[in-house]
Amino acid sequence: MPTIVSVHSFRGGTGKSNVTANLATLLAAGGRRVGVIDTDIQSPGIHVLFGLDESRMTHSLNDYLWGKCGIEQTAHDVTPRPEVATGRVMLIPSSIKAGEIARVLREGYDVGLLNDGFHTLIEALRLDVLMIDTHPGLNEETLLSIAVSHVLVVILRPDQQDYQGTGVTVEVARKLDVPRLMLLVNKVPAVFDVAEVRSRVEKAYGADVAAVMPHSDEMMTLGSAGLFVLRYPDHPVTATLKQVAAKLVA
Amino acid sequence: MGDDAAFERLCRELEAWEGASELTMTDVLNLPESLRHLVNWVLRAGHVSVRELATHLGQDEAVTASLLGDLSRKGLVAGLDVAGETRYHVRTRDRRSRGVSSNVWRALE
Repeated sequence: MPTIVSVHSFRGGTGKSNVTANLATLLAAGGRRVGVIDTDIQSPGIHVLFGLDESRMTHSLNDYLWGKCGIEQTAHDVTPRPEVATGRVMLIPSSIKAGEIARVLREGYDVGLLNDGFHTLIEALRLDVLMIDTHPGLNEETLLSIAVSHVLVVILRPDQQDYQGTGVTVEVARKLDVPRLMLLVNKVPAVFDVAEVRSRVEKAYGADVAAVMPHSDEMMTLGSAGLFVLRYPDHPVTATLKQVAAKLVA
Repeated sequence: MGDDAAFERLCRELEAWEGASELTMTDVLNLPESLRHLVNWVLRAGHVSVRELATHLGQDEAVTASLLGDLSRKGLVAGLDVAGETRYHVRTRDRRSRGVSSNVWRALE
């Protein structure tokens, strides 16, 4: 049965899109057909990680929400190294055009269409996994993503604001009966004890900590210019992401 | 709690709930517990048939069809035709207008 995975964080800058893109890449490398949908309509960006230029975006999620096309027409094959890949990554980007973002902000859209779109995508593209890259914080769209997901990955930094916000998110996730909840602590300073961070977070939220990821200068330097797991296949962060990917489809 | 007791609780909660003309996810979050669990289940399934819901609730199809009628009247689910079969889904809506000056929109377009 296809798995819907939402990747969420209460606050911005936690590394959501980076984690989503890299996990999707790893899952595809393992032979899976993976859809990635950028529901962060107000501040889209995951398409940058996949090297999808605005000029090559034939349709976007915005077009679907405005009834201009079917959602499957918004899917772009961004599979890295397709000549060797056994799986696929299909990206449904949100528009980066200021006018189109403005239109959504001004007029809103039918959130119910998003839910219809998720299921249509899974069927039309024969997806094994649909990953939803969400806008940070709680709003109608993120609540919907959480509600329809089989797995919710909540990303946080070891930061007091993130800790408090994650508590809110975990409470909401439990009210929405998310079957599997995983926490991923990202950008952890080198001076922190990983085991202690894991233990503290597990205790605080009563939830599985999928990974504690150290801050990486290489990741910061790459700066979303590409996919970390391909650029640094032997890096400890890549090894950690592989473990998380395995957990997602376990 | 057995199936029948749980079902009775669900029906009581549905009767007491005032309904929504346009259901939002915030509404879902604030539903009474049994009703919320049911709506969460339907949301995650995408859409369900009477038979599938009856199996889930441990009730017969006639009783379940009646429940779906009540859920529909209260705005929690809507019927849709899927390959000739009537199935039910949760229809959430949110079409909000943010109050920002039209000059800002014109500058962005």
